Amino acid sequence: MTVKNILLLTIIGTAFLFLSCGTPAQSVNKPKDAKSPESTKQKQFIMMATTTSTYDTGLLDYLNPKFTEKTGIDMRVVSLGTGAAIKAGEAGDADLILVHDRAGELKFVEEGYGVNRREVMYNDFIIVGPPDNPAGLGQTDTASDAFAKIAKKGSLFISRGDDSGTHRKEQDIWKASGMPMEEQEQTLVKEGKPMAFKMVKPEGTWSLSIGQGMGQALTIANEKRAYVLADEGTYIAYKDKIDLIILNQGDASLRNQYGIIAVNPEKHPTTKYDLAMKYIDWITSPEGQKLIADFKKGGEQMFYPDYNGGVLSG
Amino acid sequence: MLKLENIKKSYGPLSVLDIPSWEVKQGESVALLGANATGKTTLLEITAGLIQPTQGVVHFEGKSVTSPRTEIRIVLQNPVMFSTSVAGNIAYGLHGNGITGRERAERIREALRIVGLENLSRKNALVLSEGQKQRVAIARTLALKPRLLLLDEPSASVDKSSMQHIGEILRRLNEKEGLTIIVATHDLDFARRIAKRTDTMRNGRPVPYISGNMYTGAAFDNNGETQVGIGADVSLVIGGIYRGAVDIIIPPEHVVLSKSPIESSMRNRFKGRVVRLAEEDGRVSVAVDIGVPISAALTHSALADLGITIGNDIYVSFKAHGVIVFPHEEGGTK
Amino acid sequence: MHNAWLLLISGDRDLWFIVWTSLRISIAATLIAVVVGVPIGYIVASASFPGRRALISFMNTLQSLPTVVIGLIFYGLLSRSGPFGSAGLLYTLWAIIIGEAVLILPIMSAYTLAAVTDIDPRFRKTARSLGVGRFRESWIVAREARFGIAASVIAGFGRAIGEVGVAMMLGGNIAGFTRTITTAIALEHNKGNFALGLALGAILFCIALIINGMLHLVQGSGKR
Repeated sequence: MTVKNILLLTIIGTAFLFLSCGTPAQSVNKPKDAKSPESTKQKQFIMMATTTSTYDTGLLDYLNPKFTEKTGIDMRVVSLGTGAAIKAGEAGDADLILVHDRAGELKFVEEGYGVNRREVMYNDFIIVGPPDNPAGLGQTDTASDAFAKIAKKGSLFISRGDDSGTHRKEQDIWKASGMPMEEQEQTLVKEGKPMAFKMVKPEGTWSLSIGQGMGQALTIANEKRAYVLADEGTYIAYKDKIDLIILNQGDASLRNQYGIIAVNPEKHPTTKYDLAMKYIDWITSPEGQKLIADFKKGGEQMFYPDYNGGVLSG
Repeated sequence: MLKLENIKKSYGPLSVLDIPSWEVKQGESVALLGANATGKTTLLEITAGLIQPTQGVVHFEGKSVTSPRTEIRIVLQNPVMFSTSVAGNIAYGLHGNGITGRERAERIREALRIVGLENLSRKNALVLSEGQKQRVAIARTLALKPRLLLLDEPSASVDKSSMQHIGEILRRLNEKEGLTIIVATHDLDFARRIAKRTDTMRNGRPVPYISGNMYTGAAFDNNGETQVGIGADVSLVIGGIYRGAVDIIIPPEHVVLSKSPIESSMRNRFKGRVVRLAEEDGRVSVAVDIGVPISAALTHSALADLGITIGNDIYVSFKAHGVIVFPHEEGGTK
Repeated sequence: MHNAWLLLISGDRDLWFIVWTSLRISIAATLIAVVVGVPIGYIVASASFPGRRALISFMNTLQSLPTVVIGLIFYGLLSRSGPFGSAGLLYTLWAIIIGEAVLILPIMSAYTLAAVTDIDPRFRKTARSLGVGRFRESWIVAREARFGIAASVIAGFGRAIGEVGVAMMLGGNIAGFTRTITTAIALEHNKGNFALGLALGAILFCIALIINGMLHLVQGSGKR
């Protein structure tokens, strides 16, 4: 029994090893776009690091195959928390990053890790809450005023608490609200990786930090009939499952701006700078921007392109 | 052929063996008697080179033995079977000694033939009976063609007919092939059956065993019982059916002495005279003349209770089935 | 639920490619761990040296090493800014294979150690009495322990294919490339896409059942 088994296993195993070595498969997503995953040999590819919320919208699975079709370059996307995505760029594990944290992005470029930052698209954050709106938020309030109202009323507020782009935005708004804040150090396991970060949160037990993603935040807020800051895309996706309604939107501070940056070849000589620039040029070209605008989920547009007809719009 | 010189073996403060000198000549078959924990196993394993003595040397044909040698092989007590076929078990040892191919197949065949397991060659060794396992273990060693074979309790946990079969195999190996054999056993019958010389373990060394009561006679039928005539007009009843010339042994421990005749189921009752009292190895040997000399072994207190001296009349009884019979022809009828 | 079933029977390309990826990775990792781990287990079981008990205790502790710790360590090693960065292994299949191999190596060693230690010492004695050499003696003993060793292989494979920490951190869950059953389930769960997650979960469950069945068989046969 054993000798035969060992031989069999070795043969199968060796065969597998050969197969696994030589196939950088392309992104396979929608059946109609799918080519055979193992049909490629020695294809060019770029590593892109982005955030989970960006990736989870499905935009990249829709967008990237079109780029591959046009240029023959494979896109390998790894989705992490915002902080981790930026770190991936710093470490040189990605060739470009696509995140939505302006402060973090600028720092990334300032410290020399990234070059050619371009704003590529945006969508909005919204403040959602229970239909009876106990804190009395008004549509004409600024975001920070709305947050202040929640704090003064002591209504339940659910925070992402996970150092994501949404969470960072949330903290910015809280800081602007003038409410008393406290500092905390948190460690979370995100995408399997333990991450430590500092955060601020409003004082008071009505503010709950869950350390999880947007979907979970909405679900929990729904259960507890609490307020939460959400990105429009995820809210749209969850609309049928929850009772929360949009109570405040449109404020300039609620703009969720996405930036795409190439990793600086001077910091990491092996990075695929030329290929990365091809992608950045493409995604900010009229063609790429139109594709972004055309991306819909549940019939609704998810992202708004920054460039209109080749020109950066306001 | 084999000489143990000044062998001592201790485990910590416990001394197991203390042998100034012990020899076995080529072609001998020696039985080593003794109960458990008397040192038989230790002695055999030291002889086989499996363990080292604390002191002393084992000489085999002039060379000293310090590790397992090709000419000396041992069959361990309650042998373990490798999880493979019978033939596979034998093959392990051969392969490990560099014997492969045709010669290996040949040796396996031969070994199986000697122990009578040819038709079980491919059977899974784990499902064999104890007796068959014992024979496989013997075959394993025989395939390596030893000149001295050691066996540790080959008859333990084996049924009677297997025991006899194994005894026959060993005797044949010794008498026909000239293989020198040393067998450790606690079974006197088995020892007598196969060995020409019997030693016993006393205080950590082998000493000659008290033997006695061996006779040769003719077996015949008498009203459905088998009797053997020994001496002028002494015949005793034995168990089983034998005819013709036989050797018999009556173990001294089985001989019952009494001052008056005992009413019992024992078929053999004789009257005789006490002719000798001697102390041997802590017991008393009482020799009685019943027409032929016969000895009984008694403890000192039993002798004192009996209150006899040389010249007394005494009655001797023993069971028919207590007599050990060796028919002169191979495979004599039972 | 319904969608999940449809996905399974329709032979959805994406789905089965993910399964294929998981299988490839786990088998490769298992093979590496076998080659290194089984001999280690055997040697520690057979030899005697100072500190043996401490080493055995250590090996047993390593079995419960969390996947994220291994992921973290190798992330640091394989990242471009790490010591082995030039190999460019991070976020490739090989990174996962290495990580999983390290993960299951203690399991292989520990199981093998137990199996060999369990072997009646008389086997060794008998082998020695037959005059076989050291190597042959080891082979014989290992052969007697074969069911225990097979169990270690199966258990190791089961652990590898069912873990998510290493695959996620070192593979990056890249679509069509390093996405395994476990990372895909995690992803789809986060996206609220339950059908694919359920379908994959069902497959993983079936694999686990088969693994356990094999383990049972093999360990049962091992008892004489």
